[in-house]
Amino acid sequence: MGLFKNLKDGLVSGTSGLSEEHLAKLTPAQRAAYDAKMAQVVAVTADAVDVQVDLHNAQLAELAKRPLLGPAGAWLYGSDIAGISADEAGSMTTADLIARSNQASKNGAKLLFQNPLGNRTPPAAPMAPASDNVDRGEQIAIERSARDAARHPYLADQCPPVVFSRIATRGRTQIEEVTEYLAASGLAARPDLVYGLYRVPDRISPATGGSESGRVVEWDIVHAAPGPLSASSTPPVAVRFAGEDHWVERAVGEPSVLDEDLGVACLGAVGVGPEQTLGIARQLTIRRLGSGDADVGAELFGYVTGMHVFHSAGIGPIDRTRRPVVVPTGPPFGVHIEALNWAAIADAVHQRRQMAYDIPSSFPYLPSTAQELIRMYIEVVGLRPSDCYATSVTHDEVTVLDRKESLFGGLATARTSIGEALPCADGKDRRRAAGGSVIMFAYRDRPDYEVGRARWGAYQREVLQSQLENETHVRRPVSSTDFFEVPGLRQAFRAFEKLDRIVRIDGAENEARDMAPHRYCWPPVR
Amino acid sequence: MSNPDISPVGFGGTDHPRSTLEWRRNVWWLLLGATLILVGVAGLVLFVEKMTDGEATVEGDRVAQGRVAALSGAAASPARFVVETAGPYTVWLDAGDVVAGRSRDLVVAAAHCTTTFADGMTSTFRGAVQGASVEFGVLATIGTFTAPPGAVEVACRSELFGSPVSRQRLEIERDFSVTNGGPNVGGLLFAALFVAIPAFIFGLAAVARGWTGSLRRRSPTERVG
Repeated sequence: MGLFKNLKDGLVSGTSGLSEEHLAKLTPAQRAAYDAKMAQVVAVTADAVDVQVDLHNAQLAELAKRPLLGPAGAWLYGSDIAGISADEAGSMTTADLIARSNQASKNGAKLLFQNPLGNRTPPAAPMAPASDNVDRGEQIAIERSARDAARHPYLADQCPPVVFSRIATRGRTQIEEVTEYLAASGLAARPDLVYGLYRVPDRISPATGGSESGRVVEWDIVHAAPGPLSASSTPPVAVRFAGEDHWVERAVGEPSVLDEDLGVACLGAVGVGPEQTLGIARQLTIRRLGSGDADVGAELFGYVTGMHVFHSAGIGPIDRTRRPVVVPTGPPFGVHIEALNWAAIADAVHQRRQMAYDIPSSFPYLPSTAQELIRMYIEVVGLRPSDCYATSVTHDEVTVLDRKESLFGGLATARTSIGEALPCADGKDRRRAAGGSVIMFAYRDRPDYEVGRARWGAYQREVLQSQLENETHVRRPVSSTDFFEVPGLRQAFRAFEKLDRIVRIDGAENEARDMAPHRYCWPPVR
Repeated sequence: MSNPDISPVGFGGTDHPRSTLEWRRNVWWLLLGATLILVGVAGLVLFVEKMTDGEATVEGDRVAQGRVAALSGAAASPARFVVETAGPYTVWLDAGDVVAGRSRDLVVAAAHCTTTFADGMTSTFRGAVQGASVEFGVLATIGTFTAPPGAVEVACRSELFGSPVSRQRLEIERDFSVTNGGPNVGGLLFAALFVAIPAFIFGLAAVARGWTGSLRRRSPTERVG
């Protein structure tokens, strides 16, 4: 018994076993037993270390996929990297392993005691004003100027201005009103000055939640016009592509088609370049629909049903292109398509999306709005509007805009999209539920843009502490349709769907539920 | 605007000085909406007025009055009147002492009437077998009968109906009235209500549509710049 007591003491005290003095006193039989036990201890320790190293590597792989690193990433996804790195493992003794395990248990217990409900409160804002007298506008300007200064070393040498003209429209006539504005403002005649345009992915007056046809729907036109232009006598053309139409052939497992991929391909087919294109805008609908979960009820959904390609008049028609259109599984040749994860940043800087964004920000190094992120990318990469097919903040998947609100100190949660009234493009204050999960750029590539993207990579890494190309879920692999493989079943299912559409009344609800899982390429080919 | 990157330009498609489009209110939608709202309001007012004034209508059409005998009481005074032209008549129970609902339904169902005509023929009817009882305030129908010309006597009494617990309610004498014609005015009123409510809702939607208006091409003389 004395031998194993000494051995245990030795392990706990961090030594590798008994001292030479003790070993010399052992009989040959005791020495043999001692050596056998020590060999077992070494084997068990090695296994435990291997498990810890595997855990560590798995967590590092997960870390590499995170859109946000730094303080925001640590707050959103957690900061502790469990396990042991391979370097640490080389010098780790059994005692170290036990001590580390004990420390991890203590930390877990402490965290549970400090925050038993698991509430997630953001860290203190580092740039918060010392007094309460600083108003919101001043604080926005202070944080913004700090970000602008941090971006300055990464800016491209030459960059045209970036202007976001936001117009209010009515949902029913939004496309007509946008084309009319483009003509009246003169931008229709200068597509080379337009980076892109998009329906602002916010739902204005979310409480009503029904059709947007009579509601205010805003659009942003992102352009570089330094001042007023001469009005154009002819409005531009907006060509609609329905998401359920089969434009591109894709097999199961292949990357699905982006709206921008198809838009660029169809423009290219009739020889239209970005200098004649005003933008490729996804057709986004935001309305309240039954979630299918009786406990949750109706939720505010944002979903894309197709796209509009805006281009100068007298070109095309681009939608008469012979189908199927050949669209590569990556970006079209000579074109760069970038998707940035805005949802991850919004989770950190605009947690209550039905209210104004957080000021002072807990993470002031991150942009406060999607428009600021668009500006950052354009200015760092050095994009010229004449090379741009599309610039937008939008959605790619069906997205719920309602946000969870914590009640009674975290004891309960409720989903809501109702918040404070915020200014709209027409000057009136209305409630709005902010949407937008992904920022899309599509532009004709050039060697200097490759250099610009390297700068953007450095800026992301060093200032934004992010990897925004991660977790955007764009070009998801085309899902399987095994169900349709039985001969005749596809026709039977289609017939049933048609009957079902006649019987059901709410067209919009059908639209969201019956929507093809992938736009422009559904169903997949064999 | 709290977003410093945004330059708001209002309803740029229609309010821009060089825009060729404008929103114009749609007079036809407004007129249709106003008409539907008026129809809806008129229907609702008619319904409410008739429902609240129904007792007065019954009073006006009354040709005779009698008493419904109590369950274990002696025969009460019958209603007597003379019919000049054969036609339908309705018997109304005054159940003002009973709260509307199941209790009143019980009292009405327990009422049993016998009519005796000039030729000696009789007919009976009960509140329980009339289908649905029409109610106007405190008055509820017991049933209808068709009377030939001549003298008519209507005698009513409460008979045991429902559980014995309810017996006490039937031990009270109550008034009844006989009116000329059937009680189907209620059906017409409900039909009016079913028309009025959708008309009102569609009217509001039409006014909203007309007020929002629709996009119209502006005439060249209206354009600026």
